Amino acid sequence: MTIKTLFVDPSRCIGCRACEAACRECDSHKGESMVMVDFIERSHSVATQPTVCMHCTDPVAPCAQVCPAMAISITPEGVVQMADPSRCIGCRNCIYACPFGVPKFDASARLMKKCNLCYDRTVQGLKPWCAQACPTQALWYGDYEEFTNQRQGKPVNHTGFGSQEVQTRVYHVLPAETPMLNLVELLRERDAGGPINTNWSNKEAWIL
Amino acid sequence: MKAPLLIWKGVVKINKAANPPGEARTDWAIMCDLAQRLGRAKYFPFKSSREIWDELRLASKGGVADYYGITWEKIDRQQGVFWPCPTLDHPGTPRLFTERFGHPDGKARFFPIPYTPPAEEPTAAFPFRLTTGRVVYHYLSGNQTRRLGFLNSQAPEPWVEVHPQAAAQLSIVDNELVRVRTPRGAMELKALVVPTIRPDTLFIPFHYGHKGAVNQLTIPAVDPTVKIPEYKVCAATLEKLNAPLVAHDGTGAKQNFTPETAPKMFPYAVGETKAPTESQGKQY
Repeated sequence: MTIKTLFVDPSRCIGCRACEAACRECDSHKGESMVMVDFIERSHSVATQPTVCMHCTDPVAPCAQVCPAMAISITPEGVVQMADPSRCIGCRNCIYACPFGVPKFDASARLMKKCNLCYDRTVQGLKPWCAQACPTQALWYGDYEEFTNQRQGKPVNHTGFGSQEVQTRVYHVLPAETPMLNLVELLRERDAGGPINTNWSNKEAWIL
Repeated sequence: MKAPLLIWKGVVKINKAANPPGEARTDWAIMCDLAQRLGRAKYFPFKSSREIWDELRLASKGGVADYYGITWEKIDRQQGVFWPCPTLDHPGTPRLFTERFGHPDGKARFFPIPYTPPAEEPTAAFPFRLTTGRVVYHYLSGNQTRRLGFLNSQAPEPWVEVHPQAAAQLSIVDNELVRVRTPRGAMELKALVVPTIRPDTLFIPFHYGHKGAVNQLTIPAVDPTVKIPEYKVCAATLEKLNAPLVAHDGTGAKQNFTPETAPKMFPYAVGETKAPTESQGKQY
């Protein structure tokens, strides 16, 4: 059985926030977007990255595991749901547990809110709103085979956080030679003066 | 209800979705009543927007943009009609100049535009070029978009974009409150230090009002033919907030046009406002 899921390709993201606008229009959380578009490092580049819930499969949903009220349910398809308003006690454990920083706490509603992969749409075979709205296919919905047939880049659903590794339902699209997204390694590379530490003092590039 | 002339010269009809609530009225009814109050009711005898449309059809008959054949029925039937459409059975003209151009010899004309330098060049005192522009969240003056929570939260106030090289020379860091000064005035706003701008250029978005309006700083020069203001380039300097604020006497900036020598666009002088001052307003 092929599993349809989201593929997040930051290299295609143009930062238009159409995904946020589409997400915000949904009646289940009207006026609030569950997908976040961020400038990664505005002082170095205009690169942007959309962040959706990655729907962790191994370890399965850390947010749900730490929930003392069992407010976060996981569907048979492996989609991690938003906190159940009748159960959520607003303890914010899920926010600390999430390795990707996805859950948002609505203080006025005392409720955790996050992306649920548009469960109401995807069970009917429709794309999530963000993928529907994305003009550049930075957020793309489909199965793995479909992706590898149609698209360039390496879809990876393993993310390394130092010694720990998280497998997710949602894929990141990385350059072809990258085996997995290892955040600690990237941080080390940056601190060692990797490609992100561009030296702007070279004035030859500009004729003033 | 409406049949706006769009830039692609298609005429479409936007139908009324709901009746105006409460005491709200349609624009055309307000205009007609205004004409009556001004004693010109005989020129505004309209009872519906359709009558106004038919007047436009008649008025444009025989002209370049001939609307005469564009009836409401035809707009509905064809889902929009392109002018010119001179007769009632004419289908409209989706594309102009397919056979010949509008000049007597049927040929188009090219006009080479010789380069004219901007009215104000950077100097030692004002070493940057200041340019203005848009951001994705706002539309023009922001009158519509700055009222919307999300859009406003993404860009609530203007900022100045400056290249890391320039920022390093002035020891300005990202997100620091700085002052941008031109011969017209100064404004204080946050610096966004980014490599996506030339080191000799500053950028400020123009969607904001009052103290956030970058057009306080831009030059009042206009282009000599069609009087388009030269908002997109002027000389400016960037300074840290603890630098002394210099009087706006135009120190150092070379001006090819000054407010005095610039071609006049309005019957009143550039920079003056036509509106009466507040104290005069009370006397009315």
